[in-house]
Amino acid sequence: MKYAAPYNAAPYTTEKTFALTIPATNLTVAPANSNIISEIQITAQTAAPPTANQYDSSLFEVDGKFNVYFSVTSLPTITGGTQNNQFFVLGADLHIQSTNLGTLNRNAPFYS
Amino acid sequence: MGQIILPNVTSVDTPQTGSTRVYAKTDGLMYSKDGAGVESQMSVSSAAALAVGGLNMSSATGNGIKIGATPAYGWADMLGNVLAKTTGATAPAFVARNGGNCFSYFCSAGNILYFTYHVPHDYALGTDIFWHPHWGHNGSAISGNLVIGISAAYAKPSSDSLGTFTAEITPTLTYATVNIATTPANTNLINDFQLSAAAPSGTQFNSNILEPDGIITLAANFSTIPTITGSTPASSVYVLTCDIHYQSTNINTINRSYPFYV
Repeated sequence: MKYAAPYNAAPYTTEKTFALTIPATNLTVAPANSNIISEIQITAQTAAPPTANQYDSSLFEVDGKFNVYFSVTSLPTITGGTQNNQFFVLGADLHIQSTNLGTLNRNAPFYS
Repeated sequence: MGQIILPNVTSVDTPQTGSTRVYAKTDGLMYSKDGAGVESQMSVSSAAALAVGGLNMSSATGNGIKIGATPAYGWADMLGNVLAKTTGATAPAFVARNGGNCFSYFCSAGNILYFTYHVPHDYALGTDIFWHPHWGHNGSAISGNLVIGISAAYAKPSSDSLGTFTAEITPTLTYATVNIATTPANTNLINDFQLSAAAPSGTQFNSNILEPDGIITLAANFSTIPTITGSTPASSVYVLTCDIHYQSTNINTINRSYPFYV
């Protein structure tokens, strides 16, 4: 994952690399044909502080950009389906906290 | 002139129990003082009003910002970008829409487009949703019906009820084009139909199962294309996006994951 602040303020960061491991113990934990959501924290407050695999939350601002690449390195054992040992991906989103207010301006400066 | 002129004062005495004084102070703002001696500011300056921030509302369901003479939650869109196969009988063409550099998917009869919608955290629980294509054509004449066969399934987020997808519902959207005057070329045509209801038909979702982080997967089969002459490509309609109108509370959930509201 890489992040860049908007308007040429800074180049893309070096890549952060992390692994998300999702236990799929059995069909009760990971039922078929469902909307399974597994979350990982990718930023943390300066005071926390962030780990080497997390961004500092203070980096982010409006119109910043993330590039994300993910590679499936290990699959659970899946049997009895039409696509054995494969899984489907519907989307990959970022949960954010919102001010619920748009910015005054569409481009920087956003607030005045 | 209808006005009340109050002299500005520094302070007032506490009124007797069971009554309240209203007065203006030397800062030019309005105040009240109750029988217990508690003073409350009743007005703010224009500058202070502009600087108001940090509005704090209840996180419970049923709260939000409403609009209009009959207050109701405002409408917003869950956007649905077009996904399509690139080969095979159901794959649409991807060509210039109007001879320029802007390409769009063109569906002929039997072509299928695919969509995934993420129910946002500001979705007003229990409200109805409406699916709608943004589409058009580039012909010189048009008549007959556009018929879109929908297959759609919904799943709650996995943290609630393990999020198993429902069986597919299969509504049909039929739009009568009539003629080139009612369905003009190179425009942004929108026809919406109700995809959920509190008392759903057999081809609708129950609105009460929808919640934040839910997912709707949808396939749209353009089964019948109206008669179009002079279009390129022939007998095809273009599809720009297919979105879902929903009512927004304009506030989000207090929790990131289920349970969202407490």
